[in-house]
Order: sequence, then C-alpha cells, then structure tokens
Amino acid sequence: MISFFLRPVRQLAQALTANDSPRQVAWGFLLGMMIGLLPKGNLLLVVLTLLLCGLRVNKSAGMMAVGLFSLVGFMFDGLAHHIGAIVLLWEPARPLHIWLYELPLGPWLGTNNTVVVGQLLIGLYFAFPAYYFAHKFASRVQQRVSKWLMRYRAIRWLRGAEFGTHWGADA
Amino acid sequence: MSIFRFSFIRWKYVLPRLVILLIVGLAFRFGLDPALKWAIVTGGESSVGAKVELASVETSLWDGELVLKNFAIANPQSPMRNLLESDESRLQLDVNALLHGRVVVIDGIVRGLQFDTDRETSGALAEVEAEEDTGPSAIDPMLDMASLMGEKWLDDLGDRLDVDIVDQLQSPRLAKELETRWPQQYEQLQQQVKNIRERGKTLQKDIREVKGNPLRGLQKLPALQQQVAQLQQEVQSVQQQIGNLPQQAEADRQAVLAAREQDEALLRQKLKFGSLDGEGLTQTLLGEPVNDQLVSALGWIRWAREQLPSSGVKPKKLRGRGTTVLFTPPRPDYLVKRLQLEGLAQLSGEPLLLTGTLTGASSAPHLLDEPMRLELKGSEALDLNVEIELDRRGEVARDRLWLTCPQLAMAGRTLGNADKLAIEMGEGVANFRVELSLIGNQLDGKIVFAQESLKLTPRLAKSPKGQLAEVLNQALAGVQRLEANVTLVGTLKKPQIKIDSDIGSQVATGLNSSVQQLFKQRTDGLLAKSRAQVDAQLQKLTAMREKAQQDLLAQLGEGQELLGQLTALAGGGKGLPGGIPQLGKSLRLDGLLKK
Repeated sequence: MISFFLRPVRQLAQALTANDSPRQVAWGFLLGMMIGLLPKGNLLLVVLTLLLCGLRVNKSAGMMAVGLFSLVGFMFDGLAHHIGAIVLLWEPARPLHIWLYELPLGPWLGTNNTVVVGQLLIGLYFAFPAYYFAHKFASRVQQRVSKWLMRYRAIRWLRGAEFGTHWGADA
Repeated sequence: MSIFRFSFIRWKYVLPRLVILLIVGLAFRFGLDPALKWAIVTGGESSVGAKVELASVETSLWDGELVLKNFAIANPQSPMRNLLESDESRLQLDVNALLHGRVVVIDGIVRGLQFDTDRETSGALAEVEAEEDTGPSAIDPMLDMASLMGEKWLDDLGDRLDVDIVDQLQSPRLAKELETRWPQQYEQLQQQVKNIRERGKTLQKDIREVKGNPLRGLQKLPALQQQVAQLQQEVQSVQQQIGNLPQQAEADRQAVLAAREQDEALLRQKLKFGSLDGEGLTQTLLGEPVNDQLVSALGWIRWAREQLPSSGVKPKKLRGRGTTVLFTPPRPDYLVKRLQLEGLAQLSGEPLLLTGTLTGASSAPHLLDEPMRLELKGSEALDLNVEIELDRRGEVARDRLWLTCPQLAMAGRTLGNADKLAIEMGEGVANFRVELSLIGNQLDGKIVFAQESLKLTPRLAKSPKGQLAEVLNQALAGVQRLEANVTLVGTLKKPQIKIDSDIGSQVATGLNSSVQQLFKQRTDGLLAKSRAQVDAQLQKLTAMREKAQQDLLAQLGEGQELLGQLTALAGGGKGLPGGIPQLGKSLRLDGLLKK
C-alpha cells in the first residue's frame, strides 16, 4: 500500500538520483513515451516493454513517461487515427503491411490498427526531440538535483523505501 | 562469458524471465495434449449435446501434426449409440495459420470411421428433452386413406365371392314354381274330367232307368235334361281349358325366359367389380416404409444443418481504439481443407467399406471460395457413391445430396400394413438414386428406386379363401419389377412426399384382371348352370304338358262320347237328337200330362 502511493514520487526521485547516465535516462524516457502512447493489447507494446525492462536504461524515467504519455496519448487518438489510416491505406505500403500481417503472430502485432500505427508514428516523430531533451535535462539537472535532493532525509528515506520494497519490507 | 558482452542488456532482469519463459514453454509442450483433449471433449459435448470420448491426443507443433485416437461422439437422440467413431485421425495442421490464431487442416486422414455403432455405456449428458411433436406427417392421412381403400376392396372382394348368388336367381325359382303348378293344374283338370265321366255315368244310369220305366221317371226327366246340359257346359269348359294349355305353357315359358334375362343382368351386376386403384395401392404398399425412412433421414439432415455454422456474416467485435484494417480477406477460424476418410458403415445389414474425402469444412463457410463437399465411395460389399455439398456462401443456405447405388442388396421386407394389406417382397438387387436439394428450408428432391426380379407374395390379416388366395398369388406372380419415384417438396419440418410407382398399378392391374377373370368364369358358370337347369325343367314340363293334354283329351273324348249317348238318351238339346223329347213323344206323354 505504501509502495503504491509512494511509487510516482519514488520513481521521480530515483530517476533523478540514480546513478544512470543521461543517455540511459533519455532512452528510458523515450521507450516509456512510446509505450505510453501506444494502445495496449498488442505485441508491439510487449516488445517495447521488454526492451524497457530488459535493457540497461533508466526504468524509472521510462515508467514515469509511460504514466505521463498514457494520459497524453488519448488526446492524440483522433490525430493518430487519421495518420494511421493514411499510412495503412497508402497503396505503395500495402505489401509491407501484408508482409507484417502475414508474419507469425502478425495479427497480434497491431500494425493493422490505425491508432497503433498513428501513435507509433507520432512517437517516432517525437523520438529524437524526446531523447534530445531528456538527455539534455538529465545532463544538466540530474547531478545537481541529485545532490540537492540527497540532502533531504525524506529522499534518502524514499530511496530506502525503494530498497526495502525490493527486499519485501512492504509485505 | 561472451553473453555478458551485451552490457546494454539488463541480464538480472532478462535471465530470470527467460527461465520462466522456458518453464512456461515446457509446461505448454507437455500440457498441450491434455489441454487439447479437454478442449475437444468439452467443446464437442457442448456443441453436440452428448458425450464425446477421446482416448488420447498427440501433437507435434514443429511438424504441425495432430493425432486423435479412439474418438467417439455419442448420439444425443439415442444415447446407447454413437453418431460416429474413429480409430485414428491424423491431421496435418498449418503452423503459420496456428500462429495467426486459426486452425487449418491442410490434409489429414481419418481411419476406422464408423457410423451409428453401439455403445457400452450411455452417451447422454443429461436428460434429453423430448422432441416437439410436430403431429402426423403430411403423408399419414393419405396413407390411412389408401390402406382403408385397399382393405375395403379386399373385404368387398371376399364378400362378393362368398355370397351364394344362385339363391338370388329368379328363372330357376320360376321353373320350379311351374314344375309345381303345372302338375297341380293337370291334376285339377284330370279331376274335372273324371268328375264329368262319373257324373255322365250316373246320368246314363238314371236316364236308362227313366227310359226303362217312363211313367215313373217322367218327373225326373227335366232335371236329368238340365244335368245333361250342365254337364255339356262343363265338358265344353274343360275342353276349352285343355285347348288353352299350349298358350299358357308358352306364356309360362316366356316368363321363364324373361326371368332368365333378368337373372343374367343381375349376375353381371352382382359380379361387376370396381377396379382397384393403382395409385392408392402404391401409397398403401410403399407409403409407410418410404415415409418412415424419409422422415428419419430428414430429421438427421435437419439436425446436421443445425450443427453447421450459419451463412450469415458475423463481424468480430473489435476491442480497443482505432480501426483495424484487413489486408487479407477474412478467413475462418477453423478450416479443413482436405480430409481423407476411411471407414465402415452398415447399409441394409451389409458391411460397407467407405472411402472418401471431405473438403472445405469450416467455421465460416461463407468466407470460402468453394462449398463444403463430402464425397464417399462404397466398395467391396457395395458400389456406392455419395456426394454432399453444403453451400453457405450466399445469404441462403444451399445444400445438395447425391447418392447412387446401382447394386443395392435388398433384404426381404414387407410392404404395406401387415395388419391390413401387405405384400412380402423377397430379397433382390436394386438400383437406388437420390438427388436432394435444400435451398433455405425449401426441400426439393427425387429418389429413384428400381428393383428387378421381384418375388411378391400377398400377406393379409384375414387369410383369404381358396379362389381369392389363388387370384392374389396369380396376380402378384406377374409383377416382376418395382420402380418407385419419390418426389420431395415442402420444408424440412413439413415435407410433402409423393410416391410415383408402377408397383401399385402393376399389382392393381394384375388383381383387377385376375378378379375380373374369376368373376367372369363364375358368372358364366352360374348362368350356364341356371340355363341348363331351367331348360331341363321347361323340357320336362313341356313333355308333361303334352302327355297330360293327350290324356285329358282322351279322357274327355270318352266323356264326350258318354255325353253324346246321354244327350241321345235324354232326347233334348241340339246335340242330343232322339233323346228325351222324342222319348216323351213316342210315349205320348203330352196328352197324358195334359190330363
């Protein structure tokens, strides 16, 4: 229960105080953004989640981005649908779509859904800016903020809570 | 370790999950067969409504092979029988289709397929609700009527043969009456003649007495004269009666001849017999077996159709956001592209080896280019070809069934109602052909059945008597071929069955002809017998009349002679010259009397 309420704050604190490089934070944020934008229930999302969890990226930044862009993503659904429809109905790309669909487990990839494709393209479109700004933010702010935050007992306690959660203190 | 060179991978996270994935994979691999078995049994039972049994399932995902052993589906209508069972079903699945969530059987073979086999235990899942009674079938009233007609015909036939028509003939009766009347009449005339003679003799005696003593008998004389005159009149009357005898005999003969004509007409009318209706007889003989078997077969077809997916397009409900674009045409979730079948069936008690192919069976037949087809070929014991086509591509379901069996061994059977009129048919070989079409619920079908070298014997509830039994046997002996065309129209629930067959007309023609012949023989025999009897009686009567007439005339002649003598003795009257008046004159009786 404590973990549930503290998780967002803890993730933000951890993202800022972790020893990950700005690159890792930026990658984590980027993957989180992609996951957050995409509709759930397709293999593409599973792959991105596996990448977020399985790669050495800042998972806290990623999870924070997932939460943030899940909310923001709904606002882009209309636009995503239009973009997806244009792309999916674009005749030159049809063989590619068919190939994707005919792949093993292809129907579950979600690449024939207008919103999935639209959100994926929106995500890819904003990938570099997101990475760039996340990297820049992490480079400039992370070290200073980390030092500043670590002075506070609450933050240390939060990090400890995270540590305790990992070892079952929450149970 | 080289694997850890990939420092960007969070191995602490990935490795445990890979291990979990491996465990899940292994569990899937070893749990797949029991899970599939459970799914097949559960799904089958819920769809059929009866027990589904499966000994084992073996899968090879790599090869896409699925083997089902000892598969049996119980019959929901008859729980102690199986709808079908198979020893082994080996199916080649399309792995790529499986990864797309579809089960596609590219090829396969079902061995040891058997239909309608016995079960050791009940296959009922729960108490089966009794099927709604749809009332009598369309053909039942027709059958009842036809049976009634056949029965009435036979009863009538028996009755007419049993009744003694001779008793109803008038000419023998009339001849017999004459035989009684004429002797009586002659006896009466003879008595009259005898009476005349006796009275004449008495008169002669009296007159002789008067003549011997005229004075004494003078007073008696007028009375004697009167008696003589009376006797004379009687003689004339009898003479006239005897003279009339030939005319009377001729009138009687004419009456007998008229009665004979009436008798002939009566006989012809009595033995004139209504023809047996061939069509009605066909319904009686073939209606019941055809109706029973067709209703049963149509019930099966209806049940099978209910199990098939409908032709209506049901789009899948899509969850989530956006629109799913279909780049390939929608395809059915389950599809059997080709499945070879090898099995055994029972047909008319004969084991039949069946081989065939099933193509295009699917959960969404409307999505396929070709309709579902089942082709079965019977061999060894029987040459049989069955082709079933189930087309659900359009809005209206179109099903077709072709069945040909040129050499169908037919066991002996009874046609018609054994309680009324039935015909036992011996074993034989028949040519059997079925063409059935179902468009929606509209039924359109034709069944052609032809059996050569028939051996028919009658079977009646009331054992027929001598001549009738002989007639029936004789009539049926002429029927050597049975051909029946059954036309099916209407709907599956209310089929209308029309049977066109020459069996009824053949039997009816044979029976009618034999019965007419029998009746003609009987009529002719009766007429000849009656005619001979009457002729003999008439001849006898004529001889009797002639003899009687001669005797009477002879006796009357004697009477006349006596009467002449009497007249002469009495001396009066025209016919009695020198009679009584002359006698009085010679005796001068006038003067005496005056004084």
